[in-house]
Amino acid sequence: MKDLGDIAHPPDLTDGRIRLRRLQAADKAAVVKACNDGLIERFCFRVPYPYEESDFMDFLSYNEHFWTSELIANWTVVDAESDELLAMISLDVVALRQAGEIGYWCAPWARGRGITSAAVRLVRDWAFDELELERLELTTDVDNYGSQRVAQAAGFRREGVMRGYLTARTRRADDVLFGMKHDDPREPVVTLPDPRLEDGRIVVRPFWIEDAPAVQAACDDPDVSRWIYLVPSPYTLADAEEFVADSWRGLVAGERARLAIADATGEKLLGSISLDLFADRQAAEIGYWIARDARRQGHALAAARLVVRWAFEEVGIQRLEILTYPGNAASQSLAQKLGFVREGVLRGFLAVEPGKDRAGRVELPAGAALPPRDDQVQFSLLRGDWAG
Amino acid sequence: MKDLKEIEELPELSDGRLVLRPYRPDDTQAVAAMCGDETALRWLPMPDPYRLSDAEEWIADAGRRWREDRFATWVAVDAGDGRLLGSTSVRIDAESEKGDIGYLVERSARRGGVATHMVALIVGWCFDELTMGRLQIRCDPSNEASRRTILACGFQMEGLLRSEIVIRGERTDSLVASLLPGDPRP
Repeated sequence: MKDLGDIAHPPDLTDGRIRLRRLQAADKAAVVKACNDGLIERFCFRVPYPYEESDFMDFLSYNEHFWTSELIANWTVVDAESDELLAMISLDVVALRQAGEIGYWCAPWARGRGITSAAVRLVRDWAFDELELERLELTTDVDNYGSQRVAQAAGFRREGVMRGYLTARTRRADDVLFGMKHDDPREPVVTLPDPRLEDGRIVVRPFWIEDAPAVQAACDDPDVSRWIYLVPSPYTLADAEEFVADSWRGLVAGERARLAIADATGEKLLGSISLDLFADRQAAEIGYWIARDARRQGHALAAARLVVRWAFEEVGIQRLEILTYPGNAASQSLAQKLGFVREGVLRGFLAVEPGKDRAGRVELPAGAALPPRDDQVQFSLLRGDWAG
Repeated sequence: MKDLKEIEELPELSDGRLVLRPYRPDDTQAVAAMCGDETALRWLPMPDPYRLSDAEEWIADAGRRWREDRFATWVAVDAGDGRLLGSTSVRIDAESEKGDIGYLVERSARRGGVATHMVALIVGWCFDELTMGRLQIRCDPSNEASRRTILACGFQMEGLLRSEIVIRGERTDSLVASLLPGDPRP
């Protein structure tokens, strides 16, 4: 590690598109506006909320001494041309371990453009190449999907979950630890990409937390809970929020792409379609549901065609499966329209869920003590079968 | 279904003729010879060539496999002289209360019903002791010996899963057959 006493103040860093510079008094209005955002309140527990102008003035005065007194480098991330404020990023050097911890927030108006990932890459390169640190770390809430994607885009590897790691305002939070060594490859860590698949009529994209009320409305429907294993009934808003969070976890871990089917604008939720990868990542199962008022318009078929193409061409899947209840005629018809081949009926494949009545149940001999189980009709489509 | 956390160590299962017992370090030589057999490598997804170190790793990992992956693996030995006759396994999906059975018979012990006895012992443990809801076996459609075992154990053929498994780098088909708790057992 370099002698950090040689560095009077962290320098400006730029990649041409964004610039990392010192915080200025003129940033006040933008910082106050950004920090009064719900996601920053939820996940950035060190930022006061509600955020007042006096909080900014306190921060500005500490910031003058952060580097010299505590080895914390802090930058405002701005547009390299217009100087518009986009994000904030910090590097906390832990000299004893020759390591650094990176923290950040992104203003609501700057999200979804890779700004934070670009800022992390600049700080990462400065920390490794100029300060000669050995290791960098970054921790994020387990439910902070955007932040985990930023870490992966900057080449950090998911090292583990630290349970009950910190108190974030009123709750105790679990955090994911991401780490990077100075000699790790600096390319993005690819698990499953965030797809946006379109055919002009519908858009298939990751779920947003804003979809939760529409998910709840769609899933609180006996036809959805009847044909989908483990979908609770009745279905609460908390169930829907967990559904969205779990969808993110699946994408970050690279184990499952559970995606929203939306109308052509990408906004109105029509349904859900998922690609569950098997352990070898060469085979996967497709599952879906469509909201009641969006049925019988071909949305499931259109979404499945987009996902089948994505699975074969982008994800590298060799074998796709669809499993449905014998009584679910619509799903069997969909599988056949997609060119899937019916392979057989797997008897008693799923446990019966209380209160859900599904045709096609296995009959047990009279007096059998065990609960009956449900059959599944299995279909498959191979990459070699697929016409494209 | 029984809570698997109560089962720290896999039990020994015996029908008087053969005994299924957990792997031991002194099985290494015999396991390496059994798994390195040409017929075994043709049907099962194992390292090829199969080295002594592969057997050492497989045996050393057995406890973790059960505790973390719910993948129960045993060797089958002769109840009389203790010689190795085969190996067998069941991979349990506790959430949906079902299991997937696998087996391999030592070359010198083939055509003697060893596989049928191994499967019957696992079936008894899974249904009568653990009260699971479904057991399945998958095998290559051209593996005649395995198909005979499946039918001899009362399993019903359900379908042909196309290009379902990777063996020695090639995707191949699998027959799938199942036994439910209420099915007749031979």
